[in-house]
Amino acid sequence: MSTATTAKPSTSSSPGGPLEQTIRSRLSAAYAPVLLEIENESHKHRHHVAMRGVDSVETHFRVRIVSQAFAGKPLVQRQRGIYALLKDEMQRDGGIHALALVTKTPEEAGMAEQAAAQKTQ
Amino acid sequence: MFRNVFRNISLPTTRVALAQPSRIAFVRFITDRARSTIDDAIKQNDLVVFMKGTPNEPMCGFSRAVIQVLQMHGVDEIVGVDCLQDPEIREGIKEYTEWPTIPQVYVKGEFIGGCDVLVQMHQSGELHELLVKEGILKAEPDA
Repeated sequence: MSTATTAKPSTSSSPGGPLEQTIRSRLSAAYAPVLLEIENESHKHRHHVAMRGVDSVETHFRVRIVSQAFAGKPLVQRQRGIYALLKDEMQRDGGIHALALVTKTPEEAGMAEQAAAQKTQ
Repeated sequence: MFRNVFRNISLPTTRVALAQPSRIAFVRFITDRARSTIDDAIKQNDLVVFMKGTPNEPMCGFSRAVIQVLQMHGVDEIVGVDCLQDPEIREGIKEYTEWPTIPQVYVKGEFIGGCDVLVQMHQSGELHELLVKEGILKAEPDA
């Protein structure tokens, strides 16, 4: 049984649009995540009042990230770190309107083994 | 006995005329009026939710989720500030808290988090602890 493959951040099959790729590359670089899942949920919110007149197909994302870097940090601080990395994308017109975040340490996510495998690589 | 009592803060209706076009994505400086309205809302209420819509009628799924989580914990009086009613508050609260999204929950003057934080705290049990510790909920006598 090889654990090497599970230590790689898991990603959805398609690379996604430019914003999704930006989110993935920034978070990967900053957190060396054990798990990083990004889901573009924009299509579910297309009829939402705030989306009137918005053409972008990348407005709503759901991110699940597991990283050792979150250890000892309260949830608010974890999210602030991610918001800071994506500040411009969240502020500009036509950028990210909503970013749902689940931020966990490997211990909290029951992934301590995968994290240990990642460390030894 | 589970009747919920909702209250909403009525925001002052006076508006400062904006020099910029009204369709601006981000106001960089919070107005004094917005800051004092937010200060008052946070000081005068042990628990306040800056949200889109009202506790009875949330206008956004994330705001709705926060209200539902609080109700699930038995918070029977939720004070909401409807950010959709006031563009200055809507942008001002983001700068005030240094948090880019709405809803935002404050308990006893302290920022607790937005939707994801509340949901995660609910799942871990931290939310119940916090609500009891801050006296928002009474500790259950026979727990």
